[in-house]
Amino acid sequence: MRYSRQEIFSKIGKKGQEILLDSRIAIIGLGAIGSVCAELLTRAGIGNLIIVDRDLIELSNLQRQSLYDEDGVGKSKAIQAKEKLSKINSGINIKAFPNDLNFENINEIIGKVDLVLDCTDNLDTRFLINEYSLKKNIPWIYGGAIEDRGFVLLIKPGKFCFRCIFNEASNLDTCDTIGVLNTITHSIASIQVNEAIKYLLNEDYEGELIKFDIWNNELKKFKVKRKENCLVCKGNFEYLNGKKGANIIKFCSSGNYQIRNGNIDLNKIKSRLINIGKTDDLGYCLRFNNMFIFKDRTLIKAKSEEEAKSLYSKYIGN
Amino acid sequence: MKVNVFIERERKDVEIELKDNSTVKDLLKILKINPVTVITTINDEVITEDYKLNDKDKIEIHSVVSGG
Repeated sequence: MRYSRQEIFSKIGKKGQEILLDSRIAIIGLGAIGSVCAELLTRAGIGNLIIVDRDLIELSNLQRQSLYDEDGVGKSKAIQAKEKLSKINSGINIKAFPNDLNFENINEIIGKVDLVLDCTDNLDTRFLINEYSLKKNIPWIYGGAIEDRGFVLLIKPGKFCFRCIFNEASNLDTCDTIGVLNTITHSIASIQVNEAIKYLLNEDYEGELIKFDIWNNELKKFKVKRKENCLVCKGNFEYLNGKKGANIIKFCSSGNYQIRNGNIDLNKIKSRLINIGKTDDLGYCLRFNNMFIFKDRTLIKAKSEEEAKSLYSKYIGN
Repeated sequence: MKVNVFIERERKDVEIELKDNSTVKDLLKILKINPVTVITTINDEVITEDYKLNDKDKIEIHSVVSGG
């Protein structure tokens, strides 16, 4: 009865529903895209979900992260999501991890799944998922959104990988610096979940990079090819081996964390931050909230490594 | 040679004059766009920085989207 509307839908049917109930998906990131993916997959009856997020719920999340409410502000997204999802569908298994996904815990957290949904807010974690996916032969779906547009791409190991298209980049625009509409994050999550269901059912999933611009109602698809000299496709897994990734150090005495920036453009960062809060230019660095941003590193006063990484992703962008 | 470029972020079309055998990298340098922050496409296909451009090519430049 619960899944009757999917079972009578010709492209799923009773058999398809059984496959979904038998499936196992990991959702990495439970923000604007991830929380919607988690709700849709829960309602659709994906039998086993692993949900992961290092963040706490903030008031500014409620504009688009429809799984959470005011009572949850200050609490773990992963834990709050599990609580809500279990009330929506008590018939599926949900494992929640309020953790920062990294090279040391990725195997333990994701393990063997049919599919990974990337709903993170930074490239570093995507590079890690990409390498894990290649190593373990697990397909994954990249999903990202900002302002009024977003991308979705299903990556099946062997054809091409995320690094065939995306390079390491620092100080990209983030939702915290230039904003995002709740309509685009919900749309991107819907496309992502739709591709996930099609893949699980062995239907023809979309193998192209999907771009949706909701303000202009434009949907485009781009073919992707393997990059000839892609080192990751050749098995060079620097993120999975811990050689690369967010380089973070805790300064015990001050409660500060230091994150290496690479080599960022302070003027560009300043012009973005100045629009969202008090930003002091001290000449050698910028001061913004609890952050001191230097060209090569950022010092962040935070309660935990997770919080420091989260603030970094939000305001500096990686 | 001349190529037509659509810059998605600004939603504008520009015509750029390039030397023969120019690549995507050369084009982005002229436009002062950091290559790692964008995805470049031609004929609805993602192309790499070393892709050699031809006269009258229609190129689109899309910003990398990292938010989630």
